[in-house]
Amino acid sequence: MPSPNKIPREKLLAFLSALGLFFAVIEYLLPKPVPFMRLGISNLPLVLMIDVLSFRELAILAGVKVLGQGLINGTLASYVFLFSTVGTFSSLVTMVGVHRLFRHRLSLIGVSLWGALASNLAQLLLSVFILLGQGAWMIGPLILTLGGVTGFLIGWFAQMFQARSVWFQRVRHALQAN
Amino acid sequence: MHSKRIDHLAAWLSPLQRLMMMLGPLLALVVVDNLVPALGLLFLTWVLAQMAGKRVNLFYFTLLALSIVGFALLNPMGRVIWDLGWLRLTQGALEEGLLKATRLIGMVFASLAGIHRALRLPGRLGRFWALVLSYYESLLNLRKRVTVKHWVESLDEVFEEVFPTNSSNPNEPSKEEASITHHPGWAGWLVVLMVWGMSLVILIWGGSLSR
Amino acid sequence: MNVPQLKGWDLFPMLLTLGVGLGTLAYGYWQMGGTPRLEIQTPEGQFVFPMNADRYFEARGPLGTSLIKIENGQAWFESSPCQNKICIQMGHQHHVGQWAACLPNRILLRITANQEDVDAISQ
Repeated sequence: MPSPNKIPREKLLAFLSALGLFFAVIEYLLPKPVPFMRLGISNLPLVLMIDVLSFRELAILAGVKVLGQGLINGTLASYVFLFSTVGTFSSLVTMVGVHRLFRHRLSLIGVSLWGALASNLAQLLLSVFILLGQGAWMIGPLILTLGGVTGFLIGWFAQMFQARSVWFQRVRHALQAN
Repeated sequence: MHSKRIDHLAAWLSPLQRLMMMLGPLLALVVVDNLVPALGLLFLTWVLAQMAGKRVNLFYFTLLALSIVGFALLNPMGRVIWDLGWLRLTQGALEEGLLKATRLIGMVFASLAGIHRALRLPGRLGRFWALVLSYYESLLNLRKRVTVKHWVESLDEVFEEVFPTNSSNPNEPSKEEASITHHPGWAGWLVVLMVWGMSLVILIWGGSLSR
Repeated sequence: MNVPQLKGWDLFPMLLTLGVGLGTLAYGYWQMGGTPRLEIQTPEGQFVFPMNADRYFEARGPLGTSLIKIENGQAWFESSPCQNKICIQMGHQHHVGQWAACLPNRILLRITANQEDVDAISQ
């Protein structure tokens, strides 16, 4: 069994950021019902680590994921980056907030659902005021419902991974021992 | 199996020069207020994205353009060109939608051409980014080991290989960076000036035609 | 553990998502149908403009150009080539259903909110 204080936090953050990018690439390739919509799959590392990392560390994770996505996909100077930034950070702040406040009453699925709602609502607002105009309100139900479904799935995956992953248990154990 | 696309711009431009090159058409797209020069800029940025070896999904961008134009038509403005009964399609709304779509898509193409992952970020962020990239490359290389049936166990295996929890060995940086030119040469600056010049010409030419 | 492990308050964000979704749809529908528009009939065709954006419009008729102005949610004939200038005297229009016309120059302006208003008046 490895010593609990051997996992360097900065390297772990870099790895988790890379994981977010990895999922972001998968998300970029998946077909979407509305072309500019972000499904939120790249937020899986955030959901996974929400009760392990501090808010500052989660914010770094989110920032690097968003910046990295823009650099790797080449969309840094476009509306895609704006949507990604606003979606990711509104999701993060909401998830951390509800998790800290209602930790014992909400499962990871509930936390993820809150994050999805915040993210998709923020992106809907951007769609209305920047991309599509007032008519974009009409696709609100589509964006929010689909976002809710992926939010549920992401929360569920994170829940299963936390329960069954030996790697995750070691990381959590090591970080809590520090 | 897709063939690897060649980044022709990498032979002439450092990542920093690419970033500078991108700013020309990007700024032009921000200020353009007429559809004809906007389409010219869109074509320019599309060519640059192709030269950068980027795969441009025409279906996605067509769908995006149709969405933007479609929603713009829901707010009638200007001459009525087609009365559908429940909706009147107007020239002004159509032009506004087309201009917005052209502008946004042109910005994406400019960004695709101008942003390179080897762009050096300053200081501690730059070192952190290099580490992130190396982990990212490792994950990409091992992605085929992940199976749907045993997804937790297979992910565990991949994570443990890329980020061991029983060792503190750092990963080696990706070798890919060595093939990118980081030294801005005079030829690269010439290309930057040319692209800026073309953007300006399109802007002026398009603007004078509309008067 | 392959079944989702839910807790009591997980239902709240689900219901809120549904509610907000329906709310945005209703708001969008209200926005699209309720925004007043200025419809201008000219010999050259029909024109539509939103009433919430200030603008000038040059409407061309057989006598010449009538200048129509939209400002602060009101629309009126600013100038017209007709002899009696009755269209200008009709003043500012700002409610849905109100209209003004320059009959010699064959220009009509009317404030509407949706298609049914126009059909009703043209019949």
